[in-house]
Parts: sequence; structure tokens; C-alpha cells
Amino acid sequence: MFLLNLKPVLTSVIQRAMDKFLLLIRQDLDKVNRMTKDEYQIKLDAMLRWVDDLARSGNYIAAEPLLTIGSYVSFDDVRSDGPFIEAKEAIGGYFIISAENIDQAAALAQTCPQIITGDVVIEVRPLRMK
Amino acid sequence: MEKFLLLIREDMEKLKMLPEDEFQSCIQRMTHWVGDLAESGKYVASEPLMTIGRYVSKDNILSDGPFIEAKEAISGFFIIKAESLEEATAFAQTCPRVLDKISKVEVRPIMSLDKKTDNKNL
Repeated sequence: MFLLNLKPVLTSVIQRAMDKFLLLIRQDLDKVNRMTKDEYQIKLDAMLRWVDDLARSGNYIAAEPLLTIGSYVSFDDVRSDGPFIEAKEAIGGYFIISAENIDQAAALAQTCPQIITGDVVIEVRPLRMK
Repeated sequence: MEKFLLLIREDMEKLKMLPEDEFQSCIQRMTHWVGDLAESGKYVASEPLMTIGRYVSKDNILSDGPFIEAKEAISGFFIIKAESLEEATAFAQTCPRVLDKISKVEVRPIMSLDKKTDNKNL
């Protein structure tokens, strides 16, 4: 499965010289739940093509979609779903990419097909280097 | 077994003010938290995030933005394996920063693209 394979050695050498970023794909999960299987597959296929583009440019590290359910844990409370999932800009998936800096990472995020259609916004966060 | 994404959420303003040595000891506690999990083969990955970011939409790129300015912004993530959402949730409840009342955790099942089922709501 493509998403589980890391890129060949050459790309990982280049990536070690760049910084890593977490992209959180933010969208209305109610809308996702209301999609037909076909609509969902079309959007997923567009994202998989974007993964290929990111891989070709040497920026792709990992990505996975999330199920539209979950739980919300605080020290005195546990609930199903909860405010983060019910929010209009809930997290639908994540990408980890490499880029020269946060501005390049944000520019790459703007090429996401679902950004272009206005379906999602993306939170771009640098990983702390240890 | 399934994979789960645990998003650690807390007040980013307070996190920004932590001196480096206190921050490092938080990292150590969180690393210790997943230590047993690693031994049982259920640990996959984790990273703390920097307290800055960008909010990217179709027409705009903003510095930081609403997600980082929120009281429950994401400070880091863990990817673990568990038998069920219940098990992953129970593990999240043992997070040191949750027990210290500093963080909340959002637990989300990761979709397996290998399964030929209706993946949206397994």
C-alpha cells in the first residue's frame, strides 16, 4: 500500500536536510458523513493523487485519513466525539511533509485539491526537532 | 489491532511561557508514559509541535490563526495501536498532562485504506 511505504533512499537523504511539518486537514465532518460512498471516493482519489505529487517533489513523508468518530478525554470526563469532532473545522486527516521552512510548507498545503475546492482548511505546524 | 491518533490539546500561550528545562521534563514524562506501550509493540510514533503555525485556506495564509490561539490548541500527537477506541481512550486517560489538568486528548481512529469496506464510519 503506497501510503505505508517510505520513499527511496535518495529522497530521504534530501528530507533529512529539510524540516518536517504536520498538516492537519480541517473540515466539517457532518458533511463528510453525509457524502455518498462515490462522492467520498472521488475526494479520496484526489487526495491520493496529491500524495503522488508530493512524493514526486520529494516532500511526502506520511498521510492518513481519520474516521469521523472519536473520543474527548479530560481529567474528569470522557465522552464520545466531543467538541473537537463536532466543530466546523474538525480534523479529517493528517499529512507529514518535509519543506525548507514553514512558508514553503504552507504554500504546499495550498496546493491540496480540497483546499482549492474550499472543502477544507489546513493547519500547518512544525514538528519540534529533538 | 487498529491505529489511533491521539492529539494532545492545551493552552498554547501557557506552553510558550515554559522555560526550556521544564519543557524538556514534560517531554520526558510524556516519553515515559508511552514506554510500556513501546514494550508491548503498541507504540507507533509521536512528536511535539512548535507553538507556531499557519492557517491555510483557499485564498489566505495566516500566521498562527484560530487553531493555535484556541485554549485547546494541539501541542503534540501520538500514534498508537489498540484493539478498540475504548482501549485507546482508556490509555489517553492515563496521560500525565491530562492527570495534571493541563491537557485534553482527542482520540481518533485512523482509517485503514487496505480494508474494502465502507471506511467512513467503521
